[in-house]
Amino acid sequence: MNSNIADIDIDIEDELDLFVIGDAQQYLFFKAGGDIYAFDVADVSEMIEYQTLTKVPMMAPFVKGVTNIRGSIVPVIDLLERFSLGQTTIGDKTSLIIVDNMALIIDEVHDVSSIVEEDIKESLEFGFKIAQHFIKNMAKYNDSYIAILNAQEILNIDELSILEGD
Amino acid sequence: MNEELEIFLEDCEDQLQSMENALLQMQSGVIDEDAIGSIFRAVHTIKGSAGMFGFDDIVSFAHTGENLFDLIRQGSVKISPDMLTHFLLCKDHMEKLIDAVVNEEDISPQLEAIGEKLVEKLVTYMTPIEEVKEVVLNLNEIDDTSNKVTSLWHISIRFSKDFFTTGMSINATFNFLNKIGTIHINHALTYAIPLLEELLPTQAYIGFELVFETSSSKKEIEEVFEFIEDDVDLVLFQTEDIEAYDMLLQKRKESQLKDTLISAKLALAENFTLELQEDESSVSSEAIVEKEIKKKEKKVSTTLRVDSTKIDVLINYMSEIVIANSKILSLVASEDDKEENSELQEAANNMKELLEYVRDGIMDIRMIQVGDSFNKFKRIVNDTSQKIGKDVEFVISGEDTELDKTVVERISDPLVHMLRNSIDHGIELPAERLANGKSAKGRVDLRAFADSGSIVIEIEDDGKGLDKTKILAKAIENGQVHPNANLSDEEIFKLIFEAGLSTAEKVSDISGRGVGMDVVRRNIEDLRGTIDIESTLGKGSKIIIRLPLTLAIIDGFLVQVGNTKYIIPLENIKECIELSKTQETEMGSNEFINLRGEMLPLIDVRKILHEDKSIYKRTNIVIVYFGNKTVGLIVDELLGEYQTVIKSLGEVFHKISGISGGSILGSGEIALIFDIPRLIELKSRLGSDNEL
Repeated sequence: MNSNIADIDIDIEDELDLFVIGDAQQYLFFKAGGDIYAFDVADVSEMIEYQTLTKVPMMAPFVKGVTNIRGSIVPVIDLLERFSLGQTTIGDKTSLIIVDNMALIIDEVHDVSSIVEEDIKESLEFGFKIAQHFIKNMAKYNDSYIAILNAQEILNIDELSILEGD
Repeated sequence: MNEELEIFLEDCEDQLQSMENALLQMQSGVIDEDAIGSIFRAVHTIKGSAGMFGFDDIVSFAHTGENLFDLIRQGSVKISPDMLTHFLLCKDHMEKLIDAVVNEEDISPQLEAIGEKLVEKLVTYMTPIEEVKEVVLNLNEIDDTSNKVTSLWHISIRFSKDFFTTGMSINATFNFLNKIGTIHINHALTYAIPLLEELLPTQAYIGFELVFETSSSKKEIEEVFEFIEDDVDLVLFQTEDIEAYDMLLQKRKESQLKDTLISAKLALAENFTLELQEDESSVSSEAIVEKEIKKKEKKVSTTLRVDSTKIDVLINYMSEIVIANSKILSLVASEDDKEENSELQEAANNMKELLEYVRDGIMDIRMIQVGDSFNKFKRIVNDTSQKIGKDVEFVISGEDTELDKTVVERISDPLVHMLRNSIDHGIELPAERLANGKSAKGRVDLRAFADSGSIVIEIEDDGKGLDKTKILAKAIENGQVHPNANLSDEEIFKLIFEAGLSTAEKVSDISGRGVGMDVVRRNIEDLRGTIDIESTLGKGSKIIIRLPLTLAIIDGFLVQVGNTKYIIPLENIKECIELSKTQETEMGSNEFINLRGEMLPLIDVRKILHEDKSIYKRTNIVIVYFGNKTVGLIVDELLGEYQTVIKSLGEVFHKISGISGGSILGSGEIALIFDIPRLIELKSRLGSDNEL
């Protein structure tokens, strides 16, 4: 599993270089709660294995705590819980993806690849299982539509910092 | 901004501050020579430094002020209250000019117009008027305000080899000399310049011998060189002092100097009686040398200006070292074979001790006295009270209390706001005070002192105090307090720090602008401080601010609660005890124990932080205190003392109270740091709402 993640790390670097030449945008595909979602690679700074975290009391349930990433204290958020789709079960492949200096818990990293512009569509106003404001666009990936996530909305400080019971 | 300009700015700020202090002192009625002298010196120094940089606007403005103060110093002009107010305006103007030139902005026409008006008025203070006008016009000529007889001076200048690297220009020096007098002969000495192939273009080889006519004193001429004194070797004497020429030769030890001086008509051949001899040391030349040494000694300052970011970098590294060393210590302690490792252990402990010294030393660099910052408030208090017709005596104490520089800087705005509030809302108008049997003059105290590991700043006024019923009514009206709530006085007073709670009937432009009291509280809490308020209706109010000594590193005590490790700042800890079975039974469902006859309220950390039930057999209590409150924290395990670096948990967690940050332990684990004052507050709030 270690090698798994390391491979992807290298992939991103390579593909980023390619991206400069091509005209298709690069995306990081990953699984959360069995579904595939994507982030624009530009939003993601790093991926690491899931690691122990320190619970911080009084926070909303989806704020799991903090973890130490190379000497920095980084908040950890359960993406699935943020979508109100239950809690991520921690397993062998559970990973943290670092977006905007925050760590998101996801089931597993799937792929990094590009999507051509024609395959990117406006998100539906309703009908998708996660709230519309979390979705930037929908995209065709392996013949099915998946959500490209809106990092700013998911990591909205005002919502993340709400205390439990408030 | 380059380094020289920065020094200039800092210098000017210091001078302006001492000028303001002296003016305010005079305004309060104490007009003495010291105060006048210090203003004169301040103006003079600013003029001098500005001259070195060629900031002519500042020079000419300061010049008028300097002349006036010179007259005041001599007793030919008397100071009136009206003048003092005007001087304060002039000081402000000077500040603006300095700001503008330092930021490389042009002096705006408005600023120029203000300057002209100020100068006009300054000039009217000087008598006789004609003479003064002449001074203003003939800025570049001989200064004759004091009608001193001019005299001729010989000035001999040698620049240090790396003079050009100081960023100063030789020209500026001459320009400045021209402002206080006239250079009659200026002879450049070129004989020290090497042949072209040996010449380093970045070095200064040139020297100057001048004859200079001025009414200024020797000291004033020397002050021209004040800014570059370390890089200039100066010999200065009156041309009538014939013996001095010999001494000059003695000092310079330059074989061609004598002939050059004579041929440039800088000296007469008969001025020289001695032949230059390498090892000759007459009594008089020794005297010069001695004098020079003395001058040097006096000028050597024991302070060092350092860019504070350099210290911050050092503190960051220090923090990392502290963490790394904790790891070494825990590794050493966990070694099984204690016998064999005793030397290693000793070395590690020794290291720890030394690191503590280094850390304390670094932190100490950041500590500054609050006095300078406090003195700036005098002016604000003065202006505010005058503006609204109140008579206020402002008393500062504890100026030498030391506090972290960042804290001092960040506490300044909140303090200004609270002082304005005290004057605007607290202190009554003189008539009202008299009617209430108080003295017409109100009093505002600003105090700073150290108290059990924290710094306390108090603002106390003898004004009308806070009206409990009014505050409460307003809070209920705003829906911030339930109508049936039973609040203590303290809790009611604290409501003034809530947003949107202003009980002032009319918003004045004094306390109405800028930050509100809620922002004040926020600022202080950001510094891990607390704010409390005491007040008696009709007698006055007291705001008490408690601040931590430093922001970056704390000595803490590591405890385990559930699965999480917490650090309690050592400065808050009184003692640790074990909760005995008898105490536990005695306690029942209450949340306090009887500790040596005193009731000790308890906070069950596990409960308040929603941790799972304890798996530990023993229950420990850490007794913490803050101010006058003491409580016991029930924790699972005591893990011992721990030196730690506070790291922010980030914006996501900014609403949590009771936790001030996190710290990365030697093992890489993160421990949360308790904010004891806030935790106690949180508990009493939750307690009164019966949520727990």
